[in-house]
Amino acid sequence: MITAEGAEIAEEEYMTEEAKYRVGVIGCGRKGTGHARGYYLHPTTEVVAAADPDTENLDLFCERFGITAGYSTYDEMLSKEQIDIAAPILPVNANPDAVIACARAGVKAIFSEKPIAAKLEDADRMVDECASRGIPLACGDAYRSFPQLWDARRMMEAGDLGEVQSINLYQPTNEISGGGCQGLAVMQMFAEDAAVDWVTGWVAGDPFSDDDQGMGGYVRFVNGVECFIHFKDAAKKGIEVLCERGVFFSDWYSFHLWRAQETERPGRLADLKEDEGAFPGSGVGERSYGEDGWRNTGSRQMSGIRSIVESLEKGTEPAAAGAIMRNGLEIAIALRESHRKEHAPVKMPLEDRGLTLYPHQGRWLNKKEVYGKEQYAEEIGSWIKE
Amino acid sequence: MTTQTQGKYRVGLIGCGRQGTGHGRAYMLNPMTELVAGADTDPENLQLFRERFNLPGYDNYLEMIEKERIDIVAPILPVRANADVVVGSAEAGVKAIYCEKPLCASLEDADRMVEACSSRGIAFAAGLVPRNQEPLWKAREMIEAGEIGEVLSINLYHSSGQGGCRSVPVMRMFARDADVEWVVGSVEGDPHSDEQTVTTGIGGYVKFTNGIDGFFHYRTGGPKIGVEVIGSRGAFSSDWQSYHLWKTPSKTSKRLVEVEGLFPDYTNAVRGYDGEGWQEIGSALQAAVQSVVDALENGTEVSCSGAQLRDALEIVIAMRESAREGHSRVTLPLADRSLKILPIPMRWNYKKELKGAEWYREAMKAHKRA
Repeated sequence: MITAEGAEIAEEEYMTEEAKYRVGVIGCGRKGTGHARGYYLHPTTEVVAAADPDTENLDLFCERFGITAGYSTYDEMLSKEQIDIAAPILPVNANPDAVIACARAGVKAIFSEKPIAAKLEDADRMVDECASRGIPLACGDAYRSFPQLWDARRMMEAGDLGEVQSINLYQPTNEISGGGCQGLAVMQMFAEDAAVDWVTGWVAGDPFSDDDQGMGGYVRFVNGVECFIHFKDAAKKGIEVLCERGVFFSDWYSFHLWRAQETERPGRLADLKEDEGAFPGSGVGERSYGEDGWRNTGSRQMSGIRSIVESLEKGTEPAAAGAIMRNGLEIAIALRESHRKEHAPVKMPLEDRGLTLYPHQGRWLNKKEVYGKEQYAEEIGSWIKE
Repeated sequence: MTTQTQGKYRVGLIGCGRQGTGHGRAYMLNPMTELVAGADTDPENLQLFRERFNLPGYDNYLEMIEKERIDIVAPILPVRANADVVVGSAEAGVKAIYCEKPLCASLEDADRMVEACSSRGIAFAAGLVPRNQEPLWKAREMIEAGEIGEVLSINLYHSSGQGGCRSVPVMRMFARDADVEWVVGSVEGDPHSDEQTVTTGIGGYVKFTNGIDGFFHYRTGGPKIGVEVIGSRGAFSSDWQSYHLWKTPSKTSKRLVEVEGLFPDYTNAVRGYDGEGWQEIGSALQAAVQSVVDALENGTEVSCSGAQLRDALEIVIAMRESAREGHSRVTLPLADRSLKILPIPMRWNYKKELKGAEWYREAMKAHKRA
């Protein structure tokens, strides 16, 4: 079989070791299938149960993954199965209650999807419920899970590149929460996950709408790092981190680092040289089909799963922690609130936790209802080549 | 005897010091200008000017303008003297003025200078600044022709020293010289100070009236210097010494690929000595002088005008005011024209007074080999 990383390996090599963590998938749709495939491929996880009120999805899922423990509700699954990792992969409107239910049911870890929620207080509830129980909460098949980004951050923390000074986030999206939470999470990462001091923001459309839309702005972290969010559809896309002695850039598909050659602070970009070997071929974006007929689940997905397993093994925070995604939601809302106040600066944290940013319908609701059965069947069918 | 080209426009230098001598030489080299006299209240500088250039020297610039029938006046002075001399020169009836930067400290002085020139149809150029660099104008032409698609945002790095006069006019250049609607700013030091040292680190956002976003990166000392123009199909950047343009090879491509060979590397610094023993004049200064000549010949805009430096000063002051008001949005134009940024003492005052006559004499030797 061909693994998600593109390595050729005998199937039994993956499954010879007894799976350590029992995974219960909640939501057996398109994205849930992707997550499940990732758990299937990971050597210490095993999907043992699934829950979905949509019997069509549930039956297909159980057939694909050889699951006998299929449930129409996650409450029933959680009460009857011994689940270590809960994977609620749901429309956003259902996410908060499901994550909280999993936490209260006593799972050891939760890896949900993104955006985390629409309302700040819901995101707070989810984060607090997990934190109070010592349950690692990961959120999203996220860019923030890319190991190359963590390698770059480690270099910065080690002082190799000097202090981080500013960040350019080039994020042309019409949904700063839906898709844009990716960049906001990575932005925080390179600001050392410091708290945000204040933001000034602007939106693409109506600032008085609570619906997700494109947003840009200026974010000032308490540690002095500033981030500029470029939200128009520019040729430059990704994240650029400017340090005293180097520059890091990723367009989410490749990763580049330019370092100063001398120990003195360089004056110009010409004084930097690209470190060609810093990030070997990432395999990001590789979505071809393997010999077993399954579409490559993606290195990002696998990184996210490795990260949640590592959280369980080592007690570390997952790469794309729920708290980070909650912070991203808060930053997005703050940008909009700034525009509502004629671009006045908005101090963080926001006091009004009832503020909301509704994702687009295709994320908020069940995609099958939004796009129709036929399109949905096509998408869910695309996981396996006939 | 120093040879000099016979030119069309008669140039009078006001301030025959270190920087003034360089400007004087630039006018000697342009075929359309003729340096005919200098004025300086410092007798030592004036005497050295007379000897080097073999030209008359005056201790009163107004007398020089009248007697020498000056067309272009070049006031190259400590900033504190700049406003009055530029206005005085305009009132004396010259055709063009090319002074140095920073323009002045306060917006009202900048307004006076700009108004004195514009009301008389006098071409007013200011500053030996990156906006004079010809490769930047070539880049602008290419960008206006659509080479990188629509300009969406502009990053400025190490942006705001000297009241913003170096880099802010370039940001405006690539924003098609649009007006600024509003700004938000923060400073690296005490925002309540009027000193220029504070404005060396100004961060924030500039919203142009044409929708282009301008981002000021306030932290100093990193490797990115200069301007970066982000378009829908490409990008351009310059660190004031090199120039780079990237394009996306196709609509679906995610990568930017540099287009090689478009711009020569540019050395702004004066290098070496020419056959007459004069220190070589950088191409930016030569280009700036030529733009003054072009303005007189063709009525075109100078490459960096006094109005541009006034506007740059206003943008940076506005960002500082924003910082003073808790980073609130500040709309332009600013109502309070008394607002100012005080240049550092070395620019505000006469350098000889600060550093001493001995230091100054040594610095003056650099222009010409004995």
